[in-house]
Order: sequence, then structure tokens, then C-alpha cells
Amino acid sequence: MMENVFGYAAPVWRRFVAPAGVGRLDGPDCRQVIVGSPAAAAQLAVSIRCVDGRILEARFQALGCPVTVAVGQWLTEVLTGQRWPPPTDGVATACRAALEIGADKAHCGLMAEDVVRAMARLAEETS
Amino acid sequence: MIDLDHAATTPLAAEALDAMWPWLSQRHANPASDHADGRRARQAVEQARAEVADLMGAAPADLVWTSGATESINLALKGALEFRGVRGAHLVSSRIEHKATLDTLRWLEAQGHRVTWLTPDSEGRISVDQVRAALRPDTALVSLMWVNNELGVINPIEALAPELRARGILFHVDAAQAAAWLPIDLRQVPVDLLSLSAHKLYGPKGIGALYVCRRPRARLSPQLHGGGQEQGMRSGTLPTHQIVGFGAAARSVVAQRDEAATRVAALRERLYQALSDALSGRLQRNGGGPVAPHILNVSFDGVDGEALRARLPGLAVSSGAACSSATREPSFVLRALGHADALADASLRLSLGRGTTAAEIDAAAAEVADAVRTLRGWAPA
Repeated sequence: MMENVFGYAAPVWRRFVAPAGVGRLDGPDCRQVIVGSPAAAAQLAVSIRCVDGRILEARFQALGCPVTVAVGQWLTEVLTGQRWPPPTDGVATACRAALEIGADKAHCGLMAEDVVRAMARLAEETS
Repeated sequence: MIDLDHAATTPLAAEALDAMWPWLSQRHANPASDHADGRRARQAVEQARAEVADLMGAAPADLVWTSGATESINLALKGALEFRGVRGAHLVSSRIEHKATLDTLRWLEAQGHRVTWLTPDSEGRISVDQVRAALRPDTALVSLMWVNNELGVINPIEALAPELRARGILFHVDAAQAAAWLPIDLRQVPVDLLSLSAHKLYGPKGIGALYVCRRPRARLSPQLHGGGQEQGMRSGTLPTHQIVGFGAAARSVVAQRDEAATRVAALRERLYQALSDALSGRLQRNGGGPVAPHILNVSFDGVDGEALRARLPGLAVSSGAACSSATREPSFVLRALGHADALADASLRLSLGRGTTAAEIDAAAAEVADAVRTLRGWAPA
């Protein structure tokens, strides 16, 4: 594995080095949300494939620091199998705990909640 | 690890280590001591002084040893103004000087002096006309770096020096990044004060020098008081081991500089071309006009700078100056050129050394290009 020269937490690093969930899902069963700021070079796009009210597959695209990339990968892991729309409560807290995100990168963890809240809004708009 | 961070510091030359070792292991006398061992140490110090002076076409008596370029810059700027006793003096410098100069000038502003800060053009250049336009009847001093440490851009020191001398304006030059690469001859370039750093030219860290012109005499008030060493200009026991290392490094630079400059400039262009080819031209080169052989600064849009650096574990590179890298802020130099924060952050300063090989250049280019392509592939369209 690539050397972790800057000492990122292990859960972040392994997701940043080999993020299996990079990509985009398109099609009639798919939905995508994008959050963040291109000007700040911090964006997270998550797309899901949903059948019968359940998320079968999730992919992400990210422009951002290693923690942002890891957040995207983590979301693809936790969203798969969840009902649509996924619950919004406690997402940021769960993300920070799972990825061992420190205070200096707390804003990256919040992007996970931004994604899920955007999904909730999308579900409401399209229902 | 491929070292492309020579602008931050250089490896200690073998000749420097050989010169230093006896003064670390066996000969420990204080060069100010008046006995046989002390006199031998003194002799070694003066021999090194001649070697460093030779690097710049100066006389040995023109040099004051300091702990490095930062101290030299402080001594030059603060010392010159303090000696003149002028309150509210006018100074001219640029926004993209090294932090040692910027912070010293800001301190002088806080003491009531006034600074005109010149903004570089989009290529990072400060022009002669800009400096001329900034001069006032009460301008006491101009301070510019010979080579910008982030961009490699060479300032028009040779053109400015005679004009400032004719106007009686003190001219301080930060030559930390220039001395290893440019043929400086202070017999031809009438600079008043010039700062040097040993560890930027294959010498040890913790030692530098300040060139202080004697004719006409550039007068300074000392900033360190104590034993009166360096003719009262800079008190403190001289570190013989570091000084002889500096001298030996300077000697090695004089012997190799011309060949190294030509070879390294070609390697720098090889690196840029390899990156450009691998990324289909999608990169931005920062710094134009005459540039020093060893520095290449490039920006990569569409990637996060932190993510890029994290994917380069095999390279020693920096974004921004090493002394500012710890703050993790985008380079103030690139922002002064008009870069948006995100692009400034996604930039690398790749600085070569005289030992850099073509194989290292090719491997580095491949690693950087691979990282950039990977990260761009992950980004939302």
C-alpha cells in the first residue's frame, strides 16, 4: 500500500488509496446528488441505484482532500442496502467515528450529512 | 525518495562534511581564543571566508558570518535603518519576497517606517520600471530577492543596482536561491547588502553570511551584542565547523556551477515536458521570463492540493515555501500572481539539485502525472 506519509487515520487512508466505489450510476433507477464548493476544490457527488425503495448500489465522485475522498467511499458502503431515502439523523457523527476524523477535518465529515440531506430533499421533490 | 525539494535545502556536499569533521571531532577551540589551537581555528574561519567571498566576487573582509539568511536579512534591514537613525524611512520591496524579508519589513512598518510593496506581474516578475516608479526622495532602502524561492523567477538585480547606487539608495538582495546557480560577481554589480544561506548551496544548516559593501561603506547597527566578534557586527562565538563547511560548499559550487546550471536547466525542461506530455498539456507553469535553472512551479486544475501531495509518497516536493508549508495555506506567492486559492493550493514547487538525474526526473514525472490523472478521474464532471 502507498506510504501514509502524512499520517492520516487508517480508515481514511485505506479508502483514499483504493476507493472501490468511485464512479457514477446512470439510468432510470438512479439518482445523484452533489454537494460542496468547486471554488474551494471540495465537492462530493454520490449516485445511487434504487429499486423498490431500497438502495442496491452506490458510487461516488470527489474533488477534495483525502478525508473527503474517504467520506465518499464510506457513504457508498453505508448507503448500500439502506431504504430510500436514507435516514439523516446522526450521519455526520457516524462518519466522524467510522473514519476517525479529527476536529481539523470535521467539515469533511459534515459533507456526508450534506449528501444524505440532499438525498432526502431530492426524494421529497420527486415523490 | 526522489528529492525535488532542493530549494528547501540541499544535501551536504561530501567536501563540506570532510572539511567539517575534524572541527567536530578533534579540534574544538574557540576561534577567538588567543592560543595555538584558537589561532588554527581562526585561520580555518578566514580561509572559509575567502572561499565564500570568492563565490560572489567579493573581498573576504566584506562578509559577516550569521546563522543563516534569515539572520542576514534581519541584520541588513534592521541594522541599516537603525544606523541611519531615520524615523519613518521609506522602503521598497515586493509582495513575494521570502517570509524572512516580509516579516522583517512588517516589523519595520510597525516601528513607523513605510514600505511600498511592489506587486509582480502574472509571470512573477518585478520590473526595473516598477522599482523606479516607487522611489521617492526619501527612499532609504530597496530589498529584492535575486531568485524567487517559489517560482525561480530572476529579478533584474544587475540592471537596478547601478541606478540605486547612483541615487544613494541602499540595495539589499536576498541571494539565498541565487548563489548556487547564478554567476554572481559583486565587483560588477554594485549591491550594498547581500544575504546568503549555506544550506541552500550544499553546506550545513545554521550558517549564513551577509555581504556588507565597504566602498561605499554600508553601515549597520549590530543586532546581536556580546563579545564583539565580526568586528562588532555580529557577536557570538563563531562555529568553526559550520563555517568551514560553508567554505568547502562554496568552493564546490564555484567548481561545478556553470556545468550544473546548464545540465539542471535541461532536466527542468525535461520534467516540464514529461508532465505536459503525460497530462496532454493540462497544467499551468508558474513563473516566466528568466528563471533559475533549478525551480519548476506547476499548477494542476481539477485536483485538491492535499490529495495530490498525499499521493506522492516517493517524492520530496513542496507546495509553497517550506517555511510556510506548515500553515497549509495556499501559496501567497501564487495568490499574488492572481491564482485562485484552489489552483494555488494544487501547485507543486519541484526544485532540482546538481545531483538530480534524468532517471529521477522521468520517475517523478510519471508519479506526479499518475496522481493527477487518478484524482481528476475521481472528480465530478
